[in-house]
Amino acid sequence: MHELHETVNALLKTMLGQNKVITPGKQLVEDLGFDSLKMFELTAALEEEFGVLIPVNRVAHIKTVADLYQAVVNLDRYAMAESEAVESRSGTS
Amino acid sequence: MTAGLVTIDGTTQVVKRRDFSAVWDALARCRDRGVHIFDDNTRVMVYRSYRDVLDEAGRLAATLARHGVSRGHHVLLCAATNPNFPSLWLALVWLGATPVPVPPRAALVGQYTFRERLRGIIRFFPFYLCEDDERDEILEITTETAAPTRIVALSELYRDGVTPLQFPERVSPAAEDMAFVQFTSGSTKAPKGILVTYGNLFANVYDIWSRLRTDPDSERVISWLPLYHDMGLVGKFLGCLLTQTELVMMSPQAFAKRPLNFLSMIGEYRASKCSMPNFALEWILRRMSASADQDYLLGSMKWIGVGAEPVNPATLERFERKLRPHGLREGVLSPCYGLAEATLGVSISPPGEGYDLFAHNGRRYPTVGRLLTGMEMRVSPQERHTAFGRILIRGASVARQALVGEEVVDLLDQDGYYDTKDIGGFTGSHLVVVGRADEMFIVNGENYFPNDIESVVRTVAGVLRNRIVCFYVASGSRGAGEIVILYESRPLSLAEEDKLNSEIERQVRGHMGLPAVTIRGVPPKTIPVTPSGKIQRLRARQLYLEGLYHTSKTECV
Repeated sequence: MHELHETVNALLKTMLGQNKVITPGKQLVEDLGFDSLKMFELTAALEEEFGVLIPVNRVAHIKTVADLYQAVVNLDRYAMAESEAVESRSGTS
Repeated sequence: MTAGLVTIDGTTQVVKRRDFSAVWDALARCRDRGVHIFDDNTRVMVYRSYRDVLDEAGRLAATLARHGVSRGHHVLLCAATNPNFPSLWLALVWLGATPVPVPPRAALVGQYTFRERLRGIIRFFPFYLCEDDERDEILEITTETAAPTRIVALSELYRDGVTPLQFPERVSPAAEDMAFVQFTSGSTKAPKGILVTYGNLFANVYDIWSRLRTDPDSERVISWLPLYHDMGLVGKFLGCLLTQTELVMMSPQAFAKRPLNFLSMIGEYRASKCSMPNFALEWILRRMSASADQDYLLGSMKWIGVGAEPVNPATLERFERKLRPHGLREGVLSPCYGLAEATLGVSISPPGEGYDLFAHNGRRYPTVGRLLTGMEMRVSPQERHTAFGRILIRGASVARQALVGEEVVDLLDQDGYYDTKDIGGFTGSHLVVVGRADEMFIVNGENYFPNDIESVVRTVAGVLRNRIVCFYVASGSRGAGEIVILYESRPLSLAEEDKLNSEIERQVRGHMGLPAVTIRGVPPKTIPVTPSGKIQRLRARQLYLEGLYHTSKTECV
C-alpha cells in the first residue's frame, strides 16, 4: 500500500478505534460516522501530519476515504507549486 | 470619546431610538473601531474599521443594484464568516433589501444536507448571493424546484468592485421594516423563517448590550459562532455593527478544526465577551485533554454566555475547573436563554453573576439569567405543587410573524405573547428551563423530559454523544404508550449492538426508573438536527412512525 494511504489510515484509526476496518470506498459520514466537528478535526490532523493546508470549502467535497487520499496528494502538489512560485518570485526581485 | 451608541448607564441613544439614519452617521464617523476576521483561505486576520466597512458597502451596493437588487427584495445570502461579510450585509441594507442568511455549503456534511435545507425555501427569493463553489449545486436546486431565483456568485460582485461615479440611494430602514429572515430549522416540509424587524433588532441589541454592560469604547467581543444562527448573527455581528463595538471573528469551521486557537485569540485580543453552546465547551475540553499543555490568558473575559441548547451543569463545572488556571474568573461562565422568535435574548445575567444550580424532579439545572428589561414573561403552570410551566414571552424584540411555506403566519396570541413551548419558571429573579412542553411526557404520574433521558444515554460508551433522540409515542407497539430511544453509533456487529442496547436500557432504568423502553441503534446522520445542531425530536418521531428506522442497520447503510 502507498505510504500516504497507510498514514491516513493510521490517523483514521486513532480517531475511530484500532479495530475499525478502513477501505477506500467507505463514506466518512455515512459509514464511518464522522459529523461536521469530527470532519474538521480530521482535516486539522491531516494538515499537521502532511504540512498542507486543506481549504474549508474543500472539506465538503471529501466524501470517501479515497477522496481523503486524493485531497492530500493534490494539496501536496499545490503546496509545492505554491512554494516554487514564491521562490521564483523572490528570485526575480 | 463617546461615539458609542449604547452607554453602560443606558442614557442616549440611537439604538434605543431605533433610528437607522443615526447608525449610518455613526458608522461613517467610526474610524478607530472595527471588525477583525480570520480569513480561512489565506489564514490571515483581516481588519476593517466600521468606516471601511461602510465605504465598501457603498461600492457593493452599486454593484448589487446593477444586478437588479433593490428595495424590498429578500435576498438569500451565503453566511460564510469571511472578511467581506460585514460589507455585504450592509450593502443589502443600503439598498433597502432584506438579507436572508443561509449556511454555506462548507458548513454542512452529508451528501444531501445542503439540498434538503434549500429545497423548501429557495423559490420564494429572487436572489441568492453565493460562494463560487456552491453555484452548480444551487443551480441544480433551482432547476429541480422551478425556482426563479437569480444566482450571483460573490466573486462577481467583488470583481466589479470599482468605486462608482454615483452611489445608489442609501435607505434608512424604519422600525417596521424587515431586518432579516432567520430560518430556525432544517425541516424540509415546513421550514420556519422568523421575520425580524428593525424594531425587534434594535430593542434586543439595546437590552443585551445594557444587561452585559458592554462598553463599545473599551471592549472587544469575540465569536466563532455561525452567522446564519441568531446567537452569532444578532448577539455578535449585528449587535457590534449597530453599536460599533469592536468584534473579532473566526469561522465555525476554523473553531471546529482548532478550538484552542479561539482560546489563544481571547488573550491576544484581550476580548471580554463571547458565547457558545454547551457542546462547544465540551469540544474545547476534549481538545485540551488531547493536547500538550499550553497557557491561555482568559483574564480579560467578563462574560461567556452558554446557550442555544440545554446546558449541562457537569460541563460548566469541568470547564471552570480546567480553565481556572488560565485566568477564567468565577462568575464569567453564564448560561442564558433565548430563541430566534425573540430576535435572540430572553434572559441573561450581568457579567460576574454566574449561575446557580436548581434541583427539579431529582435533576440539576443551571439558572439561565435574569429576564431582559424589555421582556415580559408569563409562566402558565402545568405541574402540581410547582410554579413551573409553559414559558410565554412578550416584548418589543419578539417577532410578530414568520414565513412558513408560502404563508406569513402570526406568532403571537391575542395578548401579544409568544408560546416558546419551553417549560420552566423562576427561582428568585432567575429563570430555569427544564424541558419542552411539546416533547414532555408522563409515565405513571411522573413527568419525563427527553433531554434528561438523552443525557443518560450520552454517558454510555459507544454511543455518538450528540446524536441521541428520545420521544414518546402515545399509542406505541407496547400498547399503553412507547418511549423510544434512537441513538447513532459507529457501525456495530449484531452482538455489539445487543450489548450496547442492554447497557443503555440498564442506565436508563437505573437513572430514570423507566420500565419499558424501545432502544434502537440507527445509522449515522439519520437522526434529524437543525442547522445549529439541535436534535429535532418531533421530526424524528415522525420518521419513526413512518417506519424509517425499522429497516435493519445494514440495509439503511
